[in-house]
Amino acid sequence: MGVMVNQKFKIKNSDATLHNVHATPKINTEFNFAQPVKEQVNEKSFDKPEVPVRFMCNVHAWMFAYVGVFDHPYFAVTDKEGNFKISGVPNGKYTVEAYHVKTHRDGPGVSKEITVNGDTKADFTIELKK
Amino acid sequence: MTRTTENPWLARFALATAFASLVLICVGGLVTSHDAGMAVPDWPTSYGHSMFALPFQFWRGGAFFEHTHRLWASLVGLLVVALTRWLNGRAARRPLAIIGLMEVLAGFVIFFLWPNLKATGHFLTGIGGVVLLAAWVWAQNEPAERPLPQLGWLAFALVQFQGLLGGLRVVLFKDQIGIFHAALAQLFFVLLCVIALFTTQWWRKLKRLFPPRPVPRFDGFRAGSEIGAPKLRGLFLAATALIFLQLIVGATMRHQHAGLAIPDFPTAYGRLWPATDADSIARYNQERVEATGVNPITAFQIVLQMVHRVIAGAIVCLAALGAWLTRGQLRWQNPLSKISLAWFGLIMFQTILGAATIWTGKSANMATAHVACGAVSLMTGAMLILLSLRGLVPVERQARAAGEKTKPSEFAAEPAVVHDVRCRL
Repeated sequence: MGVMVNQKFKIKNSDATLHNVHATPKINTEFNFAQPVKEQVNEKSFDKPEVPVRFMCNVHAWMFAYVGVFDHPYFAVTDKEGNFKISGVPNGKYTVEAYHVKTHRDGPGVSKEITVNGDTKADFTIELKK
Repeated sequence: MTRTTENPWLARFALATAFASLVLICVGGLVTSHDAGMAVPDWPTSYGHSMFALPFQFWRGGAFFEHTHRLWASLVGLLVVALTRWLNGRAARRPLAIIGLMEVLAGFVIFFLWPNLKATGHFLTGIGGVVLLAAWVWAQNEPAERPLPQLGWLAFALVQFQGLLGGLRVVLFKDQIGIFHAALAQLFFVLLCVIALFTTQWWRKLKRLFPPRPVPRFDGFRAGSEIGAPKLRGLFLAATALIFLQLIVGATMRHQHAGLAIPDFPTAYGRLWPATDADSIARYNQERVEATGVNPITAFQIVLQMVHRVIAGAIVCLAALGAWLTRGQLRWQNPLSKISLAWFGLIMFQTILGAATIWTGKSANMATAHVACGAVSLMTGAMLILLSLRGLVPVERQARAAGEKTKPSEFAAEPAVVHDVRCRL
């Protein structure tokens, strides 16, 4: 998922079992706390842009997720087919960047220059290294 | 009043403490292998509870390993404090009382003055209380022979430092502390084994063997096997130092939390030496199937694993050479020959475990067995160094000693060596 810098987001434990929420950013401040109670909700935020921030549960090592932290509100997460929609973008010239954890872990994503004028469509292809 | 070292229960207790520290290394290995080091986010409390009263509903998944590690570490801490008290006898009472009091006071000061370090304050207060309790126990035995009291104090300091390091790794989020914690654990285990060895009757009898047996006729060198006692000791020392270096490299690899940097063995990405350019690293990362939230691998990690392999080869060669030369000079019947051969076998087994760790995709149990076998290999190397220091004497020095005093040995009637070293084992 994506969040904005300093935007508070909620982390909820939907399971009737113990989890820990361990964020391992490289730029922002690392945190780790326990959620032993079902329906427990904690609020957190990050104060610097960073893509991606990895979240993991050390109680269950197979549980992990990635969060993008942006300094603007124009971002989206694709669906299963790779489609996405960013709403409310003012008309003008922009650079759109696509990110995938397998291809752009340590560098910038694939980017494309576009001009927005009302509803605008932009296609991207992310290629795996051969 | 009997001396502490004449009590056979001391040796048994020291051995049990050393074994407990090996178990601690195994549990710590499981923590890292399951990536569970951060499963319990607070310290020295566990999920806000006292470590010793954590409800069973919290003992789940990675938390089970991490919490067991903490509890077992506390047990080892208690055993070491008791061992220190036993080794130092009544003389330890006052220092322990002073140290315990200072730790309790330091804990309170940290707790109130630096709230962000309150975990350290809790830890110091708790451990200070245990030390005060050890000082309160009315033990009146004489101190053990040197250097056992000093080694006891060293273990006493190390076990507390290790506890602090383990806790700080959790609350400060520092992998580097984890690497240091893992390497120091190996040295701590060796230290406890050395203490256990020094408390045995066998070791003390070994000491009484000086001056050595009558000097046999020197019948010359055999081609290819001549080596002096210092060189044999140097060989054991070099191999053991290399094992310790290897353990540091291994700990660094494990605490990168990146899984296997190279997934195949004996090749590396199908080659003798893998490519480490940026495109290749990106491709390796893309081809990985990640079942857990591991970090991406880097060129540094790949080179580190290759260095680990190269050092492993060097250790195998040195251990084989050590076993061969010891056998050549001391014969198979000599304990030093037997131990050096067992050491070589252990290192071969360790090599197989290392390969199996890769072939099983870094299975947690296999990786932990590899860590434990590494600790036993280091300890065996340290024992060989000590035994060779105590038992191997150059012929010239032995001749001088025998010329001055020819007291017959209570051990072997026949000399155990034919070359320029002789063993008193």
